[in-house]
Amino acid sequence: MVKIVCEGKTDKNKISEILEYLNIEYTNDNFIIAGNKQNLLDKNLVHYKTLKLKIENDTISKILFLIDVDYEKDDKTHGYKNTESRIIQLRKDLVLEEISDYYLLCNLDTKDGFLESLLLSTVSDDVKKCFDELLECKELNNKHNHKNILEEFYRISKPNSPYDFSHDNFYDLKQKLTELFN
Amino acid sequence: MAKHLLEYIEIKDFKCFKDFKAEGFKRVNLIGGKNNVGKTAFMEACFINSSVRDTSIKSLIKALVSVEVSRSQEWFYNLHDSSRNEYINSILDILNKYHNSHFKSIVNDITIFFEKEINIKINDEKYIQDDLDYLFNETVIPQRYNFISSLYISSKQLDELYAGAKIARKRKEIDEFINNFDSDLIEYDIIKDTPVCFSKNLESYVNLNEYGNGLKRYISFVCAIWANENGCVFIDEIENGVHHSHLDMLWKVILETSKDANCQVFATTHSKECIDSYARVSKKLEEDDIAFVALGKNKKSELKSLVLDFEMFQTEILQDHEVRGW
Repeated sequence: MVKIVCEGKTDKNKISEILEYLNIEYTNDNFIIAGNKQNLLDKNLVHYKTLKLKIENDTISKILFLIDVDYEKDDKTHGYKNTESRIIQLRKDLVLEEISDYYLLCNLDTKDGFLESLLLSTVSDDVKKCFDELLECKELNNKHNHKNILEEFYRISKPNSPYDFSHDNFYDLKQKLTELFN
Repeated sequence: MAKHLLEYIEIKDFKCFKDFKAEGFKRVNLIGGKNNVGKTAFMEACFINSSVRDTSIKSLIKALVSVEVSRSQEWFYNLHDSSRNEYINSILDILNKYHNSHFKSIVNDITIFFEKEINIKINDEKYIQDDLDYLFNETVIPQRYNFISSLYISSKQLDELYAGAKIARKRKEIDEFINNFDSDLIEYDIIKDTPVCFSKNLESYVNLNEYGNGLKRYISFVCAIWANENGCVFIDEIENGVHHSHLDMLWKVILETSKDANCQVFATTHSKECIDSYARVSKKLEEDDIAFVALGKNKKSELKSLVLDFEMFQTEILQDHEVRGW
């Protein structure tokens, strides 16, 4: 059994879509939903207590942590470097370095944002520019709105297809998922 | 949280258990695992360990024999129809099956082994075969009144359990309980060794055998808890004969009654509905003195346990994870 640790249910649903694209069989058991980023980075999270017991019983062999990078200006745990150092520390605290890996979810060009930013990064530059300008509107610019809007933008821009998982921007994430289930 | 009789157990060389440890048991413990993984054997080990009182060899022998008798009716007839010598040989045959078995908890530390003849160690007391002789003066067949089998509940067992509940002065609670189960039934009793319920509609007592096995099991669970105040009750395949719509009521009664009686409950199940009900009711009652024990085998095919406390169990259920063993 392998586990993917992610922040929320939406992340789980999106990652499930990628797994289906990769023809990888999975169940709910393959996911741990921490609830949010703060929970995911908390070594005392109850999910990790269960995870450790399952590892002792040989029922879990590999783990992949998927975490949003967010925006550095918003919080000290946010931003690429901060998030990376926190997730490395978490794996160390839980003594999971040997059997776990991580992937930071963000826009690969700007190195900030969330899973939705990664998904949206695959649209054309013109459309992306429109989105960026609209997102500068302060009323829309909180994380929850931001994520939903990005997703809706994507839907509007590519109405006839799901996410383009063949895009180069998904390469690393697909690699990590494939290795996890191998 | 209150202290319980069994908070951990170590089992060695007993049936499928080679070198097994589990800890974190609470007042109510539900046990899940695949077929033949050892759920019933796990409860039998807990039963044997917790049945020994005051390092008494007699209580240990009774526990060991009753485990065999309830597993196999053959043993029952062997013992029942035997002469004294045959009886002794049957008991020794049973003991032979426990060679090198070890059961350790906070209550008792029991080892059984053979060096030419039987040796038994209970805590600091050592017994050899000669010490057992006096036990064989009476050829009684011990019954496990606090172990509710998945197969059969005898009228004798119901009688004993109800007597225990009556001693605890809980007749009224038992009557209320059967009335909640079926509003037509207002009273439970044992008349001329026969368990009966009084039916409002029929205006008469009706033999319990006329009702489904579910009611019989229900009554036995509640009586067993009251009959074992400050002790332990073991229920094999708790969902047997119980309609899914009654599961929440069953768990409510078990959780509340076991608390009032300070009785530790161990129960096995295969049913996801039963596990979900256990999670739902314990959450609703805010009853956190519970555990879920999943049994499974590791890569070396050794039997292991995963003991989830209230918070861990609720989280696993919420995430829709498989908890029924591995």
